[in-house]
Amino acid sequence: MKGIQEKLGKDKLQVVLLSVDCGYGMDPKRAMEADLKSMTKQGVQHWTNVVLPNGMKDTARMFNLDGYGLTLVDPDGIVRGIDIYGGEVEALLSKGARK
Amino acid sequence: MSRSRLSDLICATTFVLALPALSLMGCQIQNVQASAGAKPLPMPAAGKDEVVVKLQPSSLKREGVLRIGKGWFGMPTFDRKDEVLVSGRIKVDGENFEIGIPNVGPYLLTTEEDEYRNTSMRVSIDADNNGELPDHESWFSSNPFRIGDRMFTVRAVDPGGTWMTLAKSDVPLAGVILGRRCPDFELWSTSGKKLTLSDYKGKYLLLDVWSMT
Repeated sequence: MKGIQEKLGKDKLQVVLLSVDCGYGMDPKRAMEADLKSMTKQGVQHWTNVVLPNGMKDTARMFNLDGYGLTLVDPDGIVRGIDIYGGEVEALLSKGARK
Repeated sequence: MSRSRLSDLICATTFVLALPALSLMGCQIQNVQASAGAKPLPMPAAGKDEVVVKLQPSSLKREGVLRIGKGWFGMPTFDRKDEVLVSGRIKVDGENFEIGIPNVGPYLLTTEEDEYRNTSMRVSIDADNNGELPDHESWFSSNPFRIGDRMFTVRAVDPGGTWMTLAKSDVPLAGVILGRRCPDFELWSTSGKKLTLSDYKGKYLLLDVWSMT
């Protein structure tokens, strides 16, 4: 994902990380620290991270997402991909760019 | 028999005997437990802001929940069987949708709080009417869920699986559906910034559910 975002630039694609660590019993402060450490290791410490207090119960309630994976929303706010991974994101983005 | 055990027995018996009467009176049935072959209850009339969906055996199938067991020498085993559904039609804002639930209970309408994942019954809605039900077209019945651009809750399910009653819900739109607008959200980032959908207008937004655990 890092490569795709760097290619497109943050003016075109924004990533919001939804961390579900608290759902596994980790307290929010520890989750924030651990997430930042992991993000720094991957070189994406500047990405926006949200620590959800109830983990996947929150992602299920808000977005009906009950597993790991990516959801792509287009510039008009329309959902273009659910439960997708790196290559699929790139394909959807290039399809969108051709329109 | 001690007095407390006797009173427990009376309470339990009264509750069990009262259940069918309560359901016929249109009362909310929570956590209906049903086993294969449970006797169907008569279909109730729809109340205000309710829809009663008649359910029938369906050709719709969906992936079941992944069950992890123990095999030889304690090695984990993975089992994910398709679930057979009963389904019915519901019309929302002029659009028809097929809605399905498992053909056999238990139809749990609440989730266990100590579980990290929601354990309530999943309701499937074929949002794109293509006869397929990927995971993202299934919703937990303990939460309000989205059909088209409206929110509903499950009010009751027949233990025999022949009907379910849905109620229109006033909660804000939630849940993502392919080809439809993403619901508005309000989240707080770890740096203390408030995030809403409108902040991303004109840009692609990628929501990434993750964990470092």
